Amino acid sequence: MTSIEAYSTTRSGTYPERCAAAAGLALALVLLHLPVRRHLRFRYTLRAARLARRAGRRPLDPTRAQELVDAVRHTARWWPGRAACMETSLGAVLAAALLGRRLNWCLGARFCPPPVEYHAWAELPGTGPVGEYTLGGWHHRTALSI
Amino acid sequence: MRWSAGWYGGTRHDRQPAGGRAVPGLENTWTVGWPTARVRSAGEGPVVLTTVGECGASDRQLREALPAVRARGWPALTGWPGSYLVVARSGETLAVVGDLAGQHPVYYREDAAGTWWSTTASALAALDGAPVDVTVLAAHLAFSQPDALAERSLFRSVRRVPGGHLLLLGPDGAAVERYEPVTYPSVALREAAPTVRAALTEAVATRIDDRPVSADLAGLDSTTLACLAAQHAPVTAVTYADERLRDDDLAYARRTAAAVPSLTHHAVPGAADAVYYAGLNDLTELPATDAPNPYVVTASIKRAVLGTVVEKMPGPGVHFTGAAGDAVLSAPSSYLADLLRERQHRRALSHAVIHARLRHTSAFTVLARVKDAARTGLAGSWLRTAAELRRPARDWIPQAQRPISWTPLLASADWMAPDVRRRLAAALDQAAEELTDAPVRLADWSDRQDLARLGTNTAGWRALALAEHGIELAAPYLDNEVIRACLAVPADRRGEPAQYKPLLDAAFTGTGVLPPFVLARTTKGGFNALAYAGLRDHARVLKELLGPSSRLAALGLVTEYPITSALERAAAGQPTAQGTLHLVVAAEVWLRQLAFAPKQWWEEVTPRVALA
Repeated sequence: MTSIEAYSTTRSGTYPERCAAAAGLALALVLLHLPVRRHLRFRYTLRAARLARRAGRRPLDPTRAQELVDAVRHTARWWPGRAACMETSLGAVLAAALLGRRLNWCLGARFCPPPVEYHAWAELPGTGPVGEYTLGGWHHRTALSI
Repeated sequence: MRWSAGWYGGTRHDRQPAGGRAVPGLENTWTVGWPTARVRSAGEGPVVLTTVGECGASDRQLREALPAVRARGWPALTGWPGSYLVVARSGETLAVVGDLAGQHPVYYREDAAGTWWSTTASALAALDGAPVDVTVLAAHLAFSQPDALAERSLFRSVRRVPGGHLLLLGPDGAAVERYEPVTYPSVALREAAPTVRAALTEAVATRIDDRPVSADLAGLDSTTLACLAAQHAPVTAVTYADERLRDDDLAYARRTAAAVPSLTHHAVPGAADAVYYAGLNDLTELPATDAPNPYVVTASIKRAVLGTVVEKMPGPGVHFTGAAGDAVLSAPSSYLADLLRERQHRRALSHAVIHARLRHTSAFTVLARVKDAARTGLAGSWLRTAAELRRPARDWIPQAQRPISWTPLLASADWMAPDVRRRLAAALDQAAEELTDAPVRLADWSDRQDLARLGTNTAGWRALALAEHGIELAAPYLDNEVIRACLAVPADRRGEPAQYKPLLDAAFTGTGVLPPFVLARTTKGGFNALAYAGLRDHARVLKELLGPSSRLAALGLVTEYPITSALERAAAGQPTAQGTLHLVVAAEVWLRQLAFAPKQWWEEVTPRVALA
């Protein structure tokens, strides 16, 4: 199944949320495209994600979380480079942290239906993936959750 | 099998189609298997007009078209709703006009005494046992663009009338003439929307008489047709819902059926063995088709759907399918090449960013893929493809990562023996040299080729539905008028990446035909899971089918190693050349059917019958 969820056409979120989304995405892009070796880059990214989790302690309302993820995707339309699931989900997690809120960053894979597909997404603790297509059992297995 | 044929020539012919019925008013023209109601004629002396198939013209309209026939204004005969073949005679000239999507293709062969024409190439080949043209079959496997080797058919010595052309037979012999413009004048999406709505509404209405009506209810395209049909008659709607698909088609279908009163909905549960490639060990179970038919691979799924339809309906009827909806209502990202060629750089970049988001890549990667296609024309592109074929075979990478081209090579091109690749290259070089009226826009070319391919494929599905279930398959998106209405909108507007099927949305929003949530849908189901399951479950049969004993291998069209490695990748759940395997298997089945079950196409005409 395909869907066009990876792109958001509608501007969403309040002004502070949109600012946080832009900053979060920018930060995520810098982290994920740092000009250092791949394993180092990933180590820095993980460290940043853990920091973000510590910074954002307050829970996030599911509708606000959805708006925030959409806002990050909407901001990504200005970026001509790669801004796939990895970039936007990390962006959303960092954006939430900037607002003092908490989103988990998840990395995983989907085995069914084949072929195997790797994916990254943002998750709201207790509620599940945010801004992801989950209807009809469209789910990924989590390998790492921060 | 349903087909039509005719003879035009000085001397008397010595045979006629087996079981053929003469078309009233036209001598030496026959239809086979068509119900009488689907063969309609009007005539006045030497001016005769016949339509074969689903034609929406009333008897009066047919009579009113006779002056156009007399004046030889053939294009005027192609604008009625439905999908049909036109045979028209004006004095000494006979015109045979197929449809735009090749659902009623036209083939012919000339000899000293006259010309045979038919809608079936195999029948013309059977006249003297003409063999399969290996180069054309190679082209079919390598790029599946029917018009690339324009007038060559899958059989040697049988000529094909390319899409948008008609066959003119006269005392001086046969001629092929274009009746459809290469490019339509472009129409804005908003202006085209009412035309699209009208064309689709008429296309559906034309097929509804007192037969029971059924429809697929899955994606946006089939749902639209089901809802249009529901305005005229009660509709039995079916959704194929295998748990392994993990899509939301069923959820949407249920919601739609609840919102539209005359839709009765039935889910078709999947079965463990209803996967792709099931049932290929007994090829006699499959209906024979004129061209390789990809539905042989998915026959078990289609049978489950049509079986349910038959079960739930009072009798055999007409079944609507959304086939080809994607081809006319949206566009592949290759139109970016046209935007670059036309120097619409800003638009190209903004679209490329969205395509990049959808494909998890960067806009620069997307633009780099189309860069070359933007700089070359069709002929130039063929020369390049030919050069590529002369180089050694490539390793497999997903088609979506290869550069976009006017005529992109599929993985199957790399599975062929070097000698076949060289022959195909030579044929392409020649085609490039002989090319006349090439389209300027890549989208215009590839849209037509997609439609022609889908038309042939749907014809195969239609044969399956009719032979096994007595069901008439209707694919309105392949109708002339629907194609004209949709393709008049430039590809970059139809394929607007930030919006899902904007043309359908503009055509039906606020008309009350479709529930609003259907038009707002942004997801689309797919059969990937069943394709992979089939590749895994039937790997042994496939290996044998395409192994050293295969007919394709004997012709040098496949070699063993790539097949094995593609199947291994599928078994491991890795991406693989799935679509290409599908194409190759269909071709192999077709070749075997040709050899093992020769059909009796013709019968001798005794002099007494000929005189009568």
